[in-house]
Amino acid sequence: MTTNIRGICAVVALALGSVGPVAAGQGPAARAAKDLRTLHDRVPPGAAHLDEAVDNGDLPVATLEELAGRTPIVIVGRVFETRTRLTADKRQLGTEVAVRVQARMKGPVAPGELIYLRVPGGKHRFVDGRTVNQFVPGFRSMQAGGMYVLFLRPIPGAAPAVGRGRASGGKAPRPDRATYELAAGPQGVFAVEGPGAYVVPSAPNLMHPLTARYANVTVTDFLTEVSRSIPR
Amino acid sequence: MKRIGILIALIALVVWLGSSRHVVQASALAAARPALAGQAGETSPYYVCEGRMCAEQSGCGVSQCGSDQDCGACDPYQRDECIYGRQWDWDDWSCTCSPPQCDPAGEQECAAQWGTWDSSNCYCDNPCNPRQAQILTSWQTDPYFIDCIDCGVGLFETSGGETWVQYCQDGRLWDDWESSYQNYYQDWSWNCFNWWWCWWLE
Repeated sequence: MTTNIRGICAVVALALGSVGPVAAGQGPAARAAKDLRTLHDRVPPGAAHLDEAVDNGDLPVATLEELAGRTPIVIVGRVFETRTRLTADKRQLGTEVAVRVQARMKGPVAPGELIYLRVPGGKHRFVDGRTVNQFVPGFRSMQAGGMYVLFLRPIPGAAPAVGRGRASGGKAPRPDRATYELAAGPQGVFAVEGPGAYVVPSAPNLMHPLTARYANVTVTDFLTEVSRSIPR
Repeated sequence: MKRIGILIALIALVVWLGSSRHVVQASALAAARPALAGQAGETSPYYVCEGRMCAEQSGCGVSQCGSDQDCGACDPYQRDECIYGRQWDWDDWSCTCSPPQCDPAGEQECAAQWGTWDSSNCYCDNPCNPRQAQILTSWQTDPYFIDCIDCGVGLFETSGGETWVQYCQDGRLWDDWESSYQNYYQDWSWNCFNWWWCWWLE
């Protein structure tokens, strides 16, 4: 009898286990953040793929002045490469983005510099074939070759990339090159698109004040406003 | 004689009064002149520099600027031409447009190999062109019987994992990680061929 009750419990537990990750993938990001399982283990048993929303916890900003005021570095840059990797605790994905600084609007970066920034989420394929797509709702992933106006801040504790992670004798692990992150999450990413060079904000939804204000504004007007909003 | 004296005194008073009124008028005009000049330069609204922005102020005042460029802001069209026209590098702090110091293709290649680009000497530090990932070690546990789920059918668990490594083309280690899995499956089990599952629950 005891054996059978244990058996039933095991089956129920398995059934619940198969439901859990699906719920985590479709539910609020906070649920995923509290989930202590590795990302691999959050892929539902029997399923090959997990879509999971992540919440970066960014404070909302309403105006460009507010955004620029909170941001130590503002650049116009072209994305050269993107690569997604698991975080050290293997619970999240982060995408490292290599950006060439085309124009410095604010902060201690030099035009022509190659910088690396980390944005949350990405797509990953595990060795057993399971795939995961972690995404910040509304945030369009940055594409190689694309031009962006970016509001950045240094990652706390990240050392300058130069000379870091130098491999010697085949022993050093892969260096994490990202030294910058988005200062206000997707709110601080504006793609420059189209032949007329229009701005496409990445703020989470169409009702966001920055999206409403700057969607399809020409980059000339947008950069003029960015420049004006940066205190001197 | 006394009357002559009074007359002279009166004439002197009149002359003095006349001359002092002139002085008063002159000083009044002199005082009025700068005021008139100030009013000539004032507008409403007027514009002053706030940072590098020419900002409108309400009320009367003398304008300091007519555009942002008067306050040191960059010409937006020069900026556009630099960034999107010539594809050169722009510094909005100094409003300067300069050609790339290094070959942009080299920088692109450095980024592709995930190196660290030093733009002061156009050098790509620590690039890595990773090879295919390979399994270093793998392991798997023997099936673990969990419990019965039907007559003669048991629930089993196996778990396993791999250690993966990825090297650069030059032999350096680029990355290493572990993966693990747990599988559950049903299988025949004599343990479950008993009276409870096969006869009582029937």
